[in-house]
Amino acid sequence: MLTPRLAMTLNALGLYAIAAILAVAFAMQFWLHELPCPLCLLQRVAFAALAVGPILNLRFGPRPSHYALSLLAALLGAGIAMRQILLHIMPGDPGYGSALLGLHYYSWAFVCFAAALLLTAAMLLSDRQFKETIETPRLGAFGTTAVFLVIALTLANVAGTFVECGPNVCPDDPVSYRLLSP
Amino acid sequence: MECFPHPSVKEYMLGPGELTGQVMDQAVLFLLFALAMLAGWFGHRSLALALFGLSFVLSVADYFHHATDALPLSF
Repeated sequence: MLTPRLAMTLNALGLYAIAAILAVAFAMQFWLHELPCPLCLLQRVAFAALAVGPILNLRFGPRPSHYALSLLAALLGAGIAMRQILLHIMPGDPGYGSALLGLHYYSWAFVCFAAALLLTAAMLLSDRQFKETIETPRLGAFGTTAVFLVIALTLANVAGTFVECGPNVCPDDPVSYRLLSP
Repeated sequence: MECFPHPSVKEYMLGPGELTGQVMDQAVLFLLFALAMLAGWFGHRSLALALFGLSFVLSVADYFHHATDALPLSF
């Protein structure tokens, strides 16, 4: 049975996992010089959305409504990732972007969103975290760092997307950073 | 490499010139979710929930915008 304190620690760990995913996506984008397509960016948006629930859990204490936000975000992300998988499902299709450990990023994204659905549902199984109310949860450096890491990476994505797409809708097949192109 | 696998799909795509006048979509979504996180972190739970709801609806709309192009199946 999860105590509120343990539930909050697990939520902070979830935030670190989301931050790691966003950081790896960013690193691969610049390291391999691969521009994310609109569906790729939308999957990153869904990862950012996935972080809102855990942040509210850390700030206000665990509540079922906060986990519901995570479930909604994970469903959205899984749907977008599945759509992109289906776009490239034909035999011989090289897919979009590089493969990481044999799977393209959108395939990994689907696995991560499915895992998020499973883990969030598992968290909801424990009622004890909701019965013991925490009026003002105390957050240590562990939780605070997780929150600011995710917020910083989300804001970095705002800047990165703006540089890539400029003030318009992102092209389906981006070939250069619009704001950096002559 | 492209998001869409067949060259024939290009006829469904919009060129940058045709997109003029439309605002940036994903950058705004990232910003709205970041604002939801910040609102929640600074203690404005209702505002955070409202921003999440707005961002979620806009994300679904943007997904439909980018996902309803014809799927090029060739049997």
